[in-house]
Amino acid sequence: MAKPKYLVGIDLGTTNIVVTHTPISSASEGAHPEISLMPIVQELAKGAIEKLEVMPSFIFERLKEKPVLEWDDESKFIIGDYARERGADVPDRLISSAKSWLCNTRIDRTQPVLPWNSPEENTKVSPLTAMSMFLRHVRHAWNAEFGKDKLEDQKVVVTIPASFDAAARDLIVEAARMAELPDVTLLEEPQAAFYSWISQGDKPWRQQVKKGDVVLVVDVGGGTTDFSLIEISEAEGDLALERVAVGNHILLGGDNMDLTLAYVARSKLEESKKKVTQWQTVQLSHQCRKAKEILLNETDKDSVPVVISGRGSSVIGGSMKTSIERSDIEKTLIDGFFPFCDMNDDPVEDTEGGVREISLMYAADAAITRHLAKFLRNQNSNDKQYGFPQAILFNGGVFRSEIFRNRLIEVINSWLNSAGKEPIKVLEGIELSQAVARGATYYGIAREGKGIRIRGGVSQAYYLGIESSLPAVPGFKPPLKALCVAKQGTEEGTTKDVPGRTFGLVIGKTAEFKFFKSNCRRDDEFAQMIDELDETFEDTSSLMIELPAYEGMKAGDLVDVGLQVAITEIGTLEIYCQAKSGNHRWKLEFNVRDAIK
Amino acid sequence: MLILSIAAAAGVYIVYRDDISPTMAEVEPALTICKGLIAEQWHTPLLAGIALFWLLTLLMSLAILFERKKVAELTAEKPPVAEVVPPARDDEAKKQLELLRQQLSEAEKTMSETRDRANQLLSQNEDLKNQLEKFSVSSSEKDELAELKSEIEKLQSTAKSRAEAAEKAEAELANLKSEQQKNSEEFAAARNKLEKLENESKTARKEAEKAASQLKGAQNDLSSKTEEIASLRKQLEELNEQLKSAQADARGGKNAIPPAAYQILYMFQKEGRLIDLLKEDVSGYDDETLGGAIRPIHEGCRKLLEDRLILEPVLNEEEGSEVTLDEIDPEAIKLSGSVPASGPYTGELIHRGWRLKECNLPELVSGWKGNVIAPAEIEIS
Repeated sequence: MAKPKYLVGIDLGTTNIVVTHTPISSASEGAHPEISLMPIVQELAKGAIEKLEVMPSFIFERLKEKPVLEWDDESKFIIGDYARERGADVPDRLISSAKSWLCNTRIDRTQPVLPWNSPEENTKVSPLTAMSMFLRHVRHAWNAEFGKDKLEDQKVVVTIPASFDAAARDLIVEAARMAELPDVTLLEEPQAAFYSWISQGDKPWRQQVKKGDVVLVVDVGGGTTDFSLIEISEAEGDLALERVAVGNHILLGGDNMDLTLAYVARSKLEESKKKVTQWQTVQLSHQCRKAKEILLNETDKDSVPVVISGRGSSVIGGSMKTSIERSDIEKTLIDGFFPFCDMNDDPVEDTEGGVREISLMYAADAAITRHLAKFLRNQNSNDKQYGFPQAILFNGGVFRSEIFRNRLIEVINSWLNSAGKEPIKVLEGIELSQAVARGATYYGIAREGKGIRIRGGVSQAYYLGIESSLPAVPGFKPPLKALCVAKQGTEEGTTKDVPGRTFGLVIGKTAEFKFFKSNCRRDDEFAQMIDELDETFEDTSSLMIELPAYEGMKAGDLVDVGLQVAITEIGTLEIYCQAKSGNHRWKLEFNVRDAIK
Repeated sequence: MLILSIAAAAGVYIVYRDDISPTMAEVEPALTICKGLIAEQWHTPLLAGIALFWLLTLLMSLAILFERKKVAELTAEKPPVAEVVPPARDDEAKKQLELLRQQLSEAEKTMSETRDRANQLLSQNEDLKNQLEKFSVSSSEKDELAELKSEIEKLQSTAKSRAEAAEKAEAELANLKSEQQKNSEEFAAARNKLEKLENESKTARKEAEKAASQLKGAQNDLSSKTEEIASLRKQLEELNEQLKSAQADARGGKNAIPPAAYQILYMFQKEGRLIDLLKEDVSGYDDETLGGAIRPIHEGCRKLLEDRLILEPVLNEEEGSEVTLDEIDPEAIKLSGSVPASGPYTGELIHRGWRLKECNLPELVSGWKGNVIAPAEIEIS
């Protein structure tokens, strides 16, 4: 393996992928290194290729298009910009939002299921494979650009949503391995945005925050919304950073806004007895996005005409015209996605009862403010008031628009005000759509010891489900207790034995442990037993182990094991069974195959 | 009576002869007669035998007597002959005597023969008598005869049952025969079929052989064709090389269509529908419709000029202002009105002009294929 020369950050977004890099040597240059974007070469229509700063996270199964990228000679799939373009015409062959499918616990994420609900004759791939295809494309693009400094030899950081649980994190590492990137480090996206803010040189970050501040990072991307809280503390006379909380995975983003506006325009057209096809809705969505940007940026305009051209060669004769009004933006986007609400409000739950078709778990409530209210409320405990942050850092393309930023600030301030707190301070200076990728590279620098590092550790607390030992009572299931095996915030590179717990495992039999997570039980200590599982616990992929026979033991023998928990340097959680006699230990694997009921 | 006797004798003879074993069916008529004779006229053959005996004896006696009379007559005539005969006639007499002697010996001969015959007949008669005696002895054993009869009856019934069995067997045989015939017919049909199949297989084999030979021929052809293809491919490669160089030449040539021309037309159509707009008959639309419809077209095409075909003015001064230039590049500046022979040139800027600052067209990996700039679209529902 060649010596690594670059630090590489890959923002593996739900809708867009961005890659940044910096030479390792520049890490020594201090706090403001030159971080460059690597344009990703992609296939375009008509057998053309082009390097683009952003690669849309779309995969399209080829029809007759001939592969043009040299490494794609045999590939059945188009990845990137042209995939998105073709997918608008032939949606059954398009894989989108693969990352959101990767953390969908209702499906087997290793089975070929995407494109979801597409006809049988189409080739399907698993969410895991889809993610590895993106990473493979990035690797090829990098290697075509950098020649002998191959990506597999560089120090690579891949970003993931903060809400990804331990099993989903494992799957990303597995996808990277499948893409022949054996050594990647994971970083949560909101943290990456924060690193990006730290690395910007316009206004030194130390002047913007002070000890004791809690920074709320709100990341509204194309398809997902992510919240994190970072606390500014002090260590050895300098400011220190600690990520103290992460939110749940919310499938809600900027694309929902464009789609909402498109439906508004469509209903307007249909009111005037004009028929709009599915294809035209896609075009309408593009037009509406442009109209939205005009209305959001040019405050003097009250209305923007939206025209969709006829599909046939009669471009004028077949055209349809309507307009997007300022009131539409205010009503549907600002009030729809960022409504005023109380801090005690909950997101409106899905009222659809009974059977629900498996699909992406889109947020039932589009109100980002209500999701945020619930998140912040849960972070307040007796001794810590994390729910009342002092500063806010915006990330994601949606917040390029000042109107949305202002509305969110207004809402948060109303909460702070009613709690008797100071208004929130806005941290500025990051480039919203590239911040995550840039921050990922900066994290690489920090890992080299050349920059400040956010102490993050485990994003949530994890618990092993343990059945209480009670006398058997027919028809009564012994209540489940929860053993805390990872305290929220446990740092990377820690390995601990769980004291006082011995489990008897039978060799040759599969043992399965129920596994829970919680992102709001910050006071639970490592190895603490919690007697009652309330709604603050969340089911996650169970853990499985099958002990092989060893050292003269045979199938059916009982082995006493203790538990050992490791938070790895790359950001994954590993749990081992350690034999009480001898030095054997076995890793518990996440069961990502069985859906969680 | 005689005939009956003979018949009876014959019947008895046949019945009692051991060496003749005729079938029951064959002897049945004779047996019937014999049976009748034995049953009703068993005395008749005895009478017949006695009658025959007497008759034969009579005949024989008559014959003997008759011969004896002849000899006696010859002997009585002799003395007169001797008396009559003169000495002269002694020789003659001798001759006559000799003749007579001869005649006598002949007669004696005949007589002995007759006697022999009579003896023979006598012995025959004796034989017959013995036989008759024997017969009368056996006939005296009447019981035995009855037994014999019952045995015969048994035999008859056996014969009858056998005949019935035989009949049955015959019927069965007939059945079997018909069956056999049927079978043989089937067999014949099967044989025909087989023959037919054999013929067919023969023809098939012939065809297969033919096909095999054809295949061989085809393989030979193929190998020769492969060689041809290889050589053709070589030629093709050479031609391709030539074509490439020709294309390279052509790109520089004044009549060649550069791929960028296609690419630019393609992009203006794709991003802005410009070709559709220019090709559409707009005379029928009112200005409002036209104006509204042009908006997205203008937007799309403008974006192309921002992103891909980046333009900048040749001169940055305001249009309508006065400009003075010492030297001009005729490619960049067009002078009009009363133009002096040499600079400096002063005049009003009518149009700032455009220059292509940047051209960011996507890289075509293997040129522009064909001459399509906007594909026909078909939507499958």
